[in-house]
Amino acid sequence: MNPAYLVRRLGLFVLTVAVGVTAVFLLTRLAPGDPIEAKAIALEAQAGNSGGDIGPIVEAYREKFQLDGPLHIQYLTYLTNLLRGDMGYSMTNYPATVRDKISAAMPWSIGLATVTTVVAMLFGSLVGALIAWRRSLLVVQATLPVLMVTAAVPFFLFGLVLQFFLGVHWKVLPTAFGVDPGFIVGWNVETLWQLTKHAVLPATSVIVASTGLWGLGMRAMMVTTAGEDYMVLADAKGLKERRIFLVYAVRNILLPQTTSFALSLASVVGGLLLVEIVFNYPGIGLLLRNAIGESDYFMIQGVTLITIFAVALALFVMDLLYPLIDPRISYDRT
Amino acid sequence: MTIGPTTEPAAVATGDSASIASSTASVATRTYRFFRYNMKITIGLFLVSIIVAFGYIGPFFVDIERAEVGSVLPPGQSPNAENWLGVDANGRDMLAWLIDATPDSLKVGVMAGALGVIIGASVGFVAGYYGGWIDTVLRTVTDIWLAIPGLLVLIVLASMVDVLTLEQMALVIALFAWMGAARVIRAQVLTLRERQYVEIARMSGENGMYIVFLELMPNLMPFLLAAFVGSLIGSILAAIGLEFLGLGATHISTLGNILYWQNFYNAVIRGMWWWWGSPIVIFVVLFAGLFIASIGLDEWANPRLKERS
Repeated sequence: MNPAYLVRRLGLFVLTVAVGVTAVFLLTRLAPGDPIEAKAIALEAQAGNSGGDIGPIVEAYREKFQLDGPLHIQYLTYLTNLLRGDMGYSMTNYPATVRDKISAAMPWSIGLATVTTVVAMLFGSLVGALIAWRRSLLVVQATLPVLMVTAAVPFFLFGLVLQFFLGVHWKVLPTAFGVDPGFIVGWNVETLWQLTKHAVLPATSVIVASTGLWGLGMRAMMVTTAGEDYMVLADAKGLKERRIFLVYAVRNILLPQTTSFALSLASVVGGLLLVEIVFNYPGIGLLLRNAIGESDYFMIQGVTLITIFAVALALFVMDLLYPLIDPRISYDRT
Repeated sequence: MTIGPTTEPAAVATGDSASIASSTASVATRTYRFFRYNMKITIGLFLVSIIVAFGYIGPFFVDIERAEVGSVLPPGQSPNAENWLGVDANGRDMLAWLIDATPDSLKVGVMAGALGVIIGASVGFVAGYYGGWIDTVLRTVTDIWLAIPGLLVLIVLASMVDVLTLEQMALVIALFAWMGAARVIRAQVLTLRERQYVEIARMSGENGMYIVFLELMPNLMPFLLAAFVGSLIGSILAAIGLEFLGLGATHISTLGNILYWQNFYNAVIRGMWWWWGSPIVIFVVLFAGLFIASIGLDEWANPRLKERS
């Protein structure tokens, strides 16, 4: 692999994270309104008092969460803390740290994201390719409008529909949580069953919607590929249908497919978080929803930072994997 | 629709001799022909216009006051002869509520989408036209922006302020709705820049503005329209995402707010399917329409995408 390419790509990764981190800092510090003061007033109201002197409380909070001092000092503290993996304390679940909360939630989100992406990519690409393939069944070709609808509708709306029919109406699958309430997760078959059972609905809603996206992308590209000279040649050589389809047509499209997926990854992640909320799935999406509800600014910030980092990392790794998908790419040229 | 690629692609593809002589045809005929040969645009626009009509003509037939909390009793009625789409758990008539909410949801999308295209087209244009280090910088910025999950940054922003107005929300959403347009326009300008007629205009001493607006813009029109619809879809999605979380313009009725409240009151678990079902139907029709129209616009802009039959 060409080191110059690696450095350039690594640079973009670092830059992306840096921009994201700085944007979050500026937004939270420069936005009108003082979260600490709002929090203190809310706490006071909760305790049944009002109109008392909240000055000292606010000051104490400020010091605790390092919100005093000039902006550039705050920024430096914020950066050094982040580099150490310290994202502060959860304001509503003190003394739990943001990092603890996120580490507990992250495996759920990553699991859901990975499974749904792989399944949707394989299934969607296959469906899309078959729709464009002249010689496939008419029934298959006729599913195009269905794909258009599923591709257009946000994930979590499917979630609501599935939740109602499969969870509430026919009661075949659980509608919420990662495992049954009170179930203790361990390394056993029962755990696996619990995890699967609870993941089916959220996963399906993501898969259905993103199958449409993958399928449409695949189809659009298959259509342009169909007229290429090498396809005609493959036909003329009398190659087996399956070989032409898989090796000549589909293989060539996988790279642009992956690229367009990379471009949309950031928005796909946003959609995933909303699905978690619909199903009360214990990932970082739910964490975020609760944090918003409780005005837990550090938690909101932490989830955002982690997600920005995760997406940037995923894109970086994907770029390094390109040559495995498509041997035409070599990193000799940058 | 008089602006378009210089040769009418559909007409050539179908070999319709009448449409080749389209320069003499009337505007009405040409408009008809445009929609006739771009079925996806037609179907898409039709679906979208159903929703637009629902939101803007609906108030003439349905009393919007019925969308107020507690105006229809008893609450929680399933759809019946009097309340066609049912009533929510707080006595709000669903039909009235939906009609009330639709225009504002569309407005946010259109404002943010338009702003996004203006930002994106400017970035793409400058990058493609000037090239060099300007291009490198702008492209890097676009790539970075694409890699940042916009919804989350919007959430951070929206959670810092109590309530956003529709306009503020649109402005904020537009900050994450321009990248697609920038990429498309940049790529187009790169190829257009080298075309001979641009070269000729440049050699004959026309100034930059003349070239940009009279030589390049007309050719970019289809791409701009396609990019607008793309950024419109993204903006409406972002708005729904925010509203579903209870952020953004919470003080007015929008379709996303309806989804927030049904989630808040556990409508799904309580079996009140009309509460979440009816906004979903609106979304499905709206998104399907926009999406099909955007595919159609892409094909119009770039006829190579069109299916060979």
